[in-house]
Amino acid sequence: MLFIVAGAQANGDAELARRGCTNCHVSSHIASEPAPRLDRVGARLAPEFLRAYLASPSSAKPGTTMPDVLGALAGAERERAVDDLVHYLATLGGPFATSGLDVDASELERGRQLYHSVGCVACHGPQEPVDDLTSPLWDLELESAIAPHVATSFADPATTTNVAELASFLREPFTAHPAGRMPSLALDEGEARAIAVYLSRSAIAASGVIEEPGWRYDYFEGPIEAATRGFGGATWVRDGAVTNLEELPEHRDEHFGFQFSGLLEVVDAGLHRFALRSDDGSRLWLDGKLVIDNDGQHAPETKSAELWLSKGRHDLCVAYWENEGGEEFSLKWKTPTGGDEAIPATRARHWRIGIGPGATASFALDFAKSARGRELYRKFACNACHDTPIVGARPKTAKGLAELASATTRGCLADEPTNDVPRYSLAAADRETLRVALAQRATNATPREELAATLTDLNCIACHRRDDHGGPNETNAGYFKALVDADLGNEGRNPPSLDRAGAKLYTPWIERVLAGRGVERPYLATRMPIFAKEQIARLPQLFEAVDAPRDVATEAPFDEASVELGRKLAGEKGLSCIQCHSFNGTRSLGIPAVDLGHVADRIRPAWFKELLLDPKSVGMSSRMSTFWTENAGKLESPVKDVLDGDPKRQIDALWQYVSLGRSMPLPDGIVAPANEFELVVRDEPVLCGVFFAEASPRTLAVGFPERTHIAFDVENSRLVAAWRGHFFDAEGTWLGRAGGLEHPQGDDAIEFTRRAPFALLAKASDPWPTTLGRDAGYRRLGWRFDAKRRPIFRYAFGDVEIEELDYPLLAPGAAKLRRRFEVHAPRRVDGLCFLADAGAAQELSVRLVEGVGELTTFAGAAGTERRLNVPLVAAGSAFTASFEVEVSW
Amino acid sequence: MIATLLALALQAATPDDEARYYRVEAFEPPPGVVLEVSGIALLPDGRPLVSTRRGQVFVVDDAWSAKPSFKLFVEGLQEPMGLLPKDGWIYLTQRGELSRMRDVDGDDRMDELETICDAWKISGNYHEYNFGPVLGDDGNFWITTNRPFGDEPFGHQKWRGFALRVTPSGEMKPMCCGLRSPAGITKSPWGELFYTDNQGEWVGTGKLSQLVDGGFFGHPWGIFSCADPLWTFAKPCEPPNEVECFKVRAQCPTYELPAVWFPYDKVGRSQCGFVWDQNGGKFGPFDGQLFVGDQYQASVIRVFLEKVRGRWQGACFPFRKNLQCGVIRVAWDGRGGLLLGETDRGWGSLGTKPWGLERLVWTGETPFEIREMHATPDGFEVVFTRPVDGDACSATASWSFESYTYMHHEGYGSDETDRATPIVRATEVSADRTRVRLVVEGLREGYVHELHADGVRDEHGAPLLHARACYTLNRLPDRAP
Repeated sequence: MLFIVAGAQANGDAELARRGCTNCHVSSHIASEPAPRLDRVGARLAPEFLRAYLASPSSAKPGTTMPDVLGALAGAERERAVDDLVHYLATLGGPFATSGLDVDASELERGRQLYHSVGCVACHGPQEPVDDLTSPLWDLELESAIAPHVATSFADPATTTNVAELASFLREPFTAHPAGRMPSLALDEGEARAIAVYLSRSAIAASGVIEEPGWRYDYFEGPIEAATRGFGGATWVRDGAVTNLEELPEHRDEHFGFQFSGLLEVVDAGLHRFALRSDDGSRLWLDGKLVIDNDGQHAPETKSAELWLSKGRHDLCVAYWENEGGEEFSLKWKTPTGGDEAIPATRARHWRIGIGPGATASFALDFAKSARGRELYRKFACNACHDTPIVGARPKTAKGLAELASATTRGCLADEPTNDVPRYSLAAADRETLRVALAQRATNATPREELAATLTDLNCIACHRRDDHGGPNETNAGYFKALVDADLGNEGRNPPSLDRAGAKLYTPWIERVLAGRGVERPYLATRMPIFAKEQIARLPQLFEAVDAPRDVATEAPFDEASVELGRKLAGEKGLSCIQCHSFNGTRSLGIPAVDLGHVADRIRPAWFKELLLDPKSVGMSSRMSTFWTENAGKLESPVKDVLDGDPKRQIDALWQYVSLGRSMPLPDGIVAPANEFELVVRDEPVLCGVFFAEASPRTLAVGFPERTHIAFDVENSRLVAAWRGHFFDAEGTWLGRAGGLEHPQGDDAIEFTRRAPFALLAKASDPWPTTLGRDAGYRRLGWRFDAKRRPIFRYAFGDVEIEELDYPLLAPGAAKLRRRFEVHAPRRVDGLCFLADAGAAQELSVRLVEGVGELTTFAGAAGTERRLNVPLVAAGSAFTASFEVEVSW
Repeated sequence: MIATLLALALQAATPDDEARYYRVEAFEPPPGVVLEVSGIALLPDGRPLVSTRRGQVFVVDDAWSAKPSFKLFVEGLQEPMGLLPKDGWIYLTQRGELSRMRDVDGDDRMDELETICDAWKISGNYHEYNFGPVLGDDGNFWITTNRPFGDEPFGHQKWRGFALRVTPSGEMKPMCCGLRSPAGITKSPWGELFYTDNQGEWVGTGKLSQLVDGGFFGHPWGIFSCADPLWTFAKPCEPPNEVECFKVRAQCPTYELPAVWFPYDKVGRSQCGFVWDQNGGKFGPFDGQLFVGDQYQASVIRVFLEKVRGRWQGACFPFRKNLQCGVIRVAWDGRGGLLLGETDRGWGSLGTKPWGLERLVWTGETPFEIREMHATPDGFEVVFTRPVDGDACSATASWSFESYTYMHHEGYGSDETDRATPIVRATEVSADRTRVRLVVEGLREGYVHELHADGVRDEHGAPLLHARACYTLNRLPDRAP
């Protein structure tokens, strides 16, 4: 399925690369895409499929770019050559495993739903009508449940490969197909296998489906650290059936896991309560959704969930694992009519589904044939395209690409190619595209053409709309789904439009998204594929070049005073953005629309302002509110008491606020996360006393509303670390017997070098002492609060008393920490120095904001030191100094 | 009619019967407030101040109303295990220091905190709790320190398992060595200090001991610290292993026996904070006695103490069970009620809640209990809360005894060993029928004498609410009380 929309030239170049033309016809402009790797082809593909494919590539795999290179051979000779090649390829990583597999209905169903929702359909088309998918397969007739493979753009995997190989290909497609035509959908092991099971369903015989009482269990061993379906990485040992979920089948003492699965019969529709108890972790899924998360390494702990279940059968899956020490596991339920009890055995069934070995006939490797096949492989120059251990030259007769411009009706491109060239089964239109590309080699495509061609070539437009092309269409719209029940409109189902994407998004953000590190819409079932690096390398710049974003430098500079107004507008007494949007992971009150804490990383200010002024103008119309009303030709804000109710100024203030990104103070009215150990900073600092790794067990973590946070080592009177964003999850300090060694959490953490803050130096160039705290003559005096309830740490160094206030400033896209010191001594003290920073490893910028003198640089043992000489001046009967430095990163 | 009453009365006491005499009122903090109570004190204006294991301190307003409110005084403290208001400051022990803090401007929020003493360092082990401070009659502060269990990421530190004395200016002097898990420390009305310890290695069962200057309480963990010149007393000896506790002193002259052993599971399991009743009868008929919180059993224990030949000893009694959670702190509420600070985190306890704050209030009805149990040269004298049935109490069969002692060893806890059955040879009921003298054969010094007064009845034929009393007979008196 290829959409040709614009840029025939750019498209032609892509075609030349895609078909590997320049592997033989060398070009200085175009590098061919790498062909599939054959180093494990013997394990990956069934010998019978290899035979059919080599015999006729385009009929065994319609649309393949591999030419038939055996055109010069015919009849028995050709057949023999194919056979020899098959035997050679079978030695590469083989043999191909043909054993059958025994799976549970829930895995088959899961694969069925995943195939039709994560994005496979966009390129490969559906296997089943969208309406059928609303019924789980156990509610269907057996024949429908194991419906045959629908021929789409790929051959029936049951005949070409096996479940394990298909799963590993789906999980990491680039390993075998480095060109990246098939992108990665970031599937985990369990998801990949479920899809592979579903796609291999034509190998299920009707007689191979057996319904049995009780639950199926799968037993795993190995180090296990999380309750995931299928315990990726652990060793599967055996399966079996159990009648209750309170006793574990036979297992070793430590490091094991059980997955229980089956169909739960619900007799009375209504609220059901499940209680999952375990030591260590466990999770419960019902109908594919995670219902109870009791995971983690912990003592016996019970977690419950209540949900409404319809009458009928529901897919239940539990994963439980034990690390070391005590073990415990049980799942109980409470039905609308019953009390808390174990789930009766009569309510459990499971399907045992045998997936046969596929159509592969028995294959016995013949080394004489494989030796001949190896020679054929070299002779037909398979290695021109395929990267294999065999070294061989390119075909000598092939001309350079530049020489082909005038010969586009001969050779491979002849309407009737001769037997001595590789035979591509090209349609007339394909030939025309290639001919145009070859003839116009001199012309460069414009960025607009190149962008359109790339979006077409990578099939981005199968999911994304841009310039009125592409996106979900009438036939496939039903397969684009939301993962949440909340109504997010079309924006909750469809991948976002790419209209003006280059004007909307910062170029580095586009790079992140394309690299698979920018998932901003977790509610979309369809996943953003990850392409090969080379394929998408130019896209970010192309978007920027074509969509011409407004220069960010024309925006108003950061203005701290506006931030509080913006925060108010976002909160419950303002425009109430909190109803739909999360703020740096703190969830919205309603639907889960994109996180506003990430806007500063993603969105360009001009587009943001356009969006807020009129969502329709940027194509967002379904759910984003238009706040303003028109009165006498003038837009008015419903919030009158902020900036005179002027929408434009309010939007500016909102931008100032969201530009802080991870440092945004939380808006009013947002509700704290449910995690009881999460410390959420609101309108005043939050303090937590902790054991801090590599500092001391007397450390105070301080979270600030400005969302830059610090840890101060009370024992050694020094600032240890600072970080941004999320403040602190105190579980390690507050759960159980606790005593965990804490670390900076959140983002952009910096650690200050392990040195005392003050020293007495005879000479300014003396090395800074390495002793700390009491060893360096420090005494701890305590702390007090300033008017904003920020702690001021008090300590003494000899008879010099010091008060230190560390506090953040609001700063867009960066962290700024001010450090204010008040020094007080009963006598004159000479040679007192302050160490602002040591160590070159950190990208810290330090400057003196207030005080006498300047920071001077020394080469210290730990790297560059920035020191300040602190002269004390007489003040009454004492001597004092005060200064303030600013650290930013 | 009389027969029915008698039949009812003859039934053994159940926990519900305890509630008839001592009522429990639970405090419901607002959502989001987690009251893992670690310290309780009353502010000068009578409002409770509550610290938590999460390092917060709350002021409780309208504490005695149906809707008390909890105001956050401060947070960020490191596991403060006690609060002591004095001279406008609140003194407290954190893991790493003795501090004092105060609210300067009267808004019920802490404004400043001063480090008084941090002469001990901590290793970063979770179990290095410090208990107290208690203000001694000499004006110094007293703290007990817990020994660590497991990793010590910041290094092995001195002065764990000690009672420490700190002067108001912050000078520390270690006073007692060999404590294990000393979760309660209190000054008696007469000025001597006592502490409770928990069963474990080198502690046969939970105990209450007087803190004697220079004393060694049996656990060898901290002995190495005594090489430091801060320790000015005789160096404790490495204690013998597998010896009856009462024989240890023969080898270790500074070893101190407890005043009271709490037989495991019979009278609590993990004794923590305790207070003397000085409410003049507002808390019932036990004025002058001790009430001890028990963590595991979620209960309160009662203790009667007496001095015999210069040493404290006495009896412990079950008092009130069925609290919502393990009790680690107890404090008087200033109105005759007992505030109970509760948490089970990391230790587990009976009860229905993981933490909380409750109040125990006397209903005004006097339970039929053994009020006091005195040792005499030839037995015991038992004093009741109300007159007894003279006939029932005169019968020697109404009384029985068991005696046993504990081994001093490094194993976890000790069985009750060297058991015997002392015989009640004669009884004598006082003229007012509130006291009974028991002549007992087979008394042994150094043994717990566990009394079962199952046949005792009051004038109406009712049995005792708690018929068991465990008397730690360190010394036989040389004359009658």
